[in-house]
Amino acid sequence: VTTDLYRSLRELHARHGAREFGKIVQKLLAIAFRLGGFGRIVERGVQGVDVDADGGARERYTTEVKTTQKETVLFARKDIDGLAHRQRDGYRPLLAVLRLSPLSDLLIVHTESLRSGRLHIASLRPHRFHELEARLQPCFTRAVLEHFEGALTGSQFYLDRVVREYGIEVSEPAFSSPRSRGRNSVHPG
Amino acid sequence: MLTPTRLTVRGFRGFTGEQTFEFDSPVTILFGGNHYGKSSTLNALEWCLFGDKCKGADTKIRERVRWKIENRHLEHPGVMVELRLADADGECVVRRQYLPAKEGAAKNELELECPDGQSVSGSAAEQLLARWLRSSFRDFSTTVYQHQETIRGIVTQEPSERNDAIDRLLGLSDYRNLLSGIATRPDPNQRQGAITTKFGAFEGRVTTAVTLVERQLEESRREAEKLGVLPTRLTEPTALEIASQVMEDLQRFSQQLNLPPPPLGHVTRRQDLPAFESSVQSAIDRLRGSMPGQDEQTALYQRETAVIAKIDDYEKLRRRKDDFAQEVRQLDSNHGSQQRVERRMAEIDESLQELNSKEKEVSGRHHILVAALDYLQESETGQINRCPVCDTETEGLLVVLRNKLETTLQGKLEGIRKATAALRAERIVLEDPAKKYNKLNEEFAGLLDKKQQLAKDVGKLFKRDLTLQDDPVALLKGEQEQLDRRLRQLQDLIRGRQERLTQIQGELNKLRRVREALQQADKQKIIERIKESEEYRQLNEERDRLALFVNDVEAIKAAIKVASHEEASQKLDPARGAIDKFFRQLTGNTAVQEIKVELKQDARTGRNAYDITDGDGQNLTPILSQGDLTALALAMLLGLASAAGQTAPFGFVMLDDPSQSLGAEHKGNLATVLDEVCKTRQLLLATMDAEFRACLDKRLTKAKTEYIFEGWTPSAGPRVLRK
Repeated sequence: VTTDLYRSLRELHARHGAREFGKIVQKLLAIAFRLGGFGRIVERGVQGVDVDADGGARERYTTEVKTTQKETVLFARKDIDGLAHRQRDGYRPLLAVLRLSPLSDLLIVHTESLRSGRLHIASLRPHRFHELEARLQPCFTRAVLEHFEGALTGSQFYLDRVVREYGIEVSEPAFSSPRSRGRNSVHPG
Repeated sequence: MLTPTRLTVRGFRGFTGEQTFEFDSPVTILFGGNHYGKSSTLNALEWCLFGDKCKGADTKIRERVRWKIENRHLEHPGVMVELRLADADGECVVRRQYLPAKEGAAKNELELECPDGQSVSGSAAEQLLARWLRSSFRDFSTTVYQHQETIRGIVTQEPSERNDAIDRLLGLSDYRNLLSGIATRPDPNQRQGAITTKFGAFEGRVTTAVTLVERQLEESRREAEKLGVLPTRLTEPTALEIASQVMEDLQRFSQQLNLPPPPLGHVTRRQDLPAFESSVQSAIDRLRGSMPGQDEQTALYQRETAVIAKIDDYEKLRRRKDDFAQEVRQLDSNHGSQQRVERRMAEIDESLQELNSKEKEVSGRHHILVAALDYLQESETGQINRCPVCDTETEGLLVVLRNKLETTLQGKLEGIRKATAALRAERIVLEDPAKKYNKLNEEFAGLLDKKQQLAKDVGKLFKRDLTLQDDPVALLKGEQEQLDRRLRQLQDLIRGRQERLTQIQGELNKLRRVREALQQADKQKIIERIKESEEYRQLNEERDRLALFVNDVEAIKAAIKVASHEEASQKLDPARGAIDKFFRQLTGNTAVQEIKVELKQDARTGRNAYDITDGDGQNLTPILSQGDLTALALAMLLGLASAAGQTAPFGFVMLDDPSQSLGAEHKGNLATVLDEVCKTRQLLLATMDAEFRACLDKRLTKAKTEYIFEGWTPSAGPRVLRK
């Protein structure tokens, strides 16, 4: 991350808390996919894998998003099952990990050989999808900085409007019900 | 598969001269009494193949600790064992020699003669032999030459030891050795953890630094805002614009005062700003110190100070004169006047003189009269009663005269002395005011001198001599007023200029704030600076490499475990029937209908684990006797040996006293089992058991070669006959 990006993410985290922050990052990543040139993008606020991005026959990715401040993330069985489900539809399963720290970057890793459980972020490094990381990192930075003020004050509700403006499909509105909002919350790590 | 065809032994343990054994039958039986050299023969074969690896504590065989290779009874011990081995490629010769150290190091040398006729020796021979054998000594000692220790390993109730022993029995030591080898190396996971921890600590410091710099930047922004620079204007163009304005202002100011313009150039780059600020500050300081009118102001201040000092001196003089007059009035009221005091003192002095003379006169007269009376009294022997002056007759004339003298003159003297004392007391009283009058007179003279000096000084101030018509104080006060007026004029003028300079200084401060804020903003890019550094790039690559290495090591370990598991399964599956059959043949235990060795994976370590169960899957380990477990170990060895395919490295089995502790029936059973084994493996067997030998004779259906060990002496070694 850059200094500005780190500061922005830190403020978003401080303002909204870990759970809401996870959702914000998920939506910002969906926007990053759009800025990165992906055509059809589905962002799921409640159920299923967080983001599907379709950039053509060989670029169909389904991404579970995790945010944390620790050295580990919980990659649950249900995450693997969700990714496997989307894999059957021709999507390549990915895990996007954003560790909120100054020297950490947005990691995007292939999940085919990952086991479920609490994974050390360092152990994900061999599975990094460097090309996609390089493509999405600047887009993610741009998405965060452009929508920082809005996200700071309007949280995911502001971003819901933004993702729609970008033409991203939102499978279920995050504000459908308070109960459903919490069901697919991103684990704080 | 390697099979031995001939063994030649010399000087090895109990052997002395050269002894050759031909293994030209499927079965070779070494028969003879205890300590006749049977076991040494099998050991010689083993030593030939594995050298020093088959001795010492690492073998885990108790008797091999401090095991001597050479014959201790020979005067010149030298060991040589030659083994001919055959396989599909032909026959090779393995020759190992050992010369114990007498002086210098012991000599241990291996030579190989390959099937193609090539000879290799030394370390190259050791490496080549290891490739041929494809087995460690430990594998050989468990899968080919079954030692009691291996049996003990299987017999043990300790699961991990038993699993280890069965793994070895299955020839899976390589996998175990690989896993153990990996385990002996520093754990890359720990290394990764340590690096992550250190990196985390570094990241913590970066976080702190970022926070600190952010606060400083915020402070700079606030300060800049106080000076009227909005946060949005904290940019380089703003800084350069302010710098340009400051320079123009200073030049205009200098021009207005007819002063030379300060040596300042246009700033076009941000990095030149600190030097520019320093030059501007020097110029402002210089202008503040050398402003026109300032010298005059300084001179006027000095003159005003001198004038005020003189006025002050006059004031002090006046006050002193007033004090003086007051003191004189006080003295006059007490004592009249100085003249009166002095006059009275003179009168007293005169009276005192007179009294003094009178006292001297009376006193002199008294002395004379006393002397006359003394004379008269001394010159007349009798009493004089007639006065020589008036000739009057008086009884005791001298006494009467002396009394009269005392009464008259002494009274006079006392009166004089009293008067003198009274005058002196009065004079003493008058002395103090007299002194005070004198002192005041002196002081008055000093005041007059001072007044004259002050007049001179004031004259100097006005550069003329003052006359009696001049009032110096009035002159000084007039001068002070004039000076004050001029100074006010100058102050107004200078203050205006200073205020202008202060405005410029304010602009300079603003420029500093903007520049500092820009610097703080630059500092804030800590993350970028770190990430752009070569060291960080290298560190990241190292972390990637280490993570990949950790991943690879874990994958290798998993693969080894899977391979070990699969190979164990492959070996066990075909041997299961033979193991079960041999076990039941060996034991004749009717309680065990079927014995199974089930392969599992240890949940904790992922390594192979073996359950010994009956047909229903019930664990038999707790109920099998030691004898059963021994039989199981033999059954596994022989079952695996007979079930092993042609890919196994060794095509023979060596058994040393296998009938030990078996009953007659079991011995027959063992012979039957061995007959089965002989179908796929060459058998080398040593026994001292005649009953077992008879069983073998009777039940082994394959051709047999028998070596009879008839006796042994230290000098000649074993006496061996081939039958």
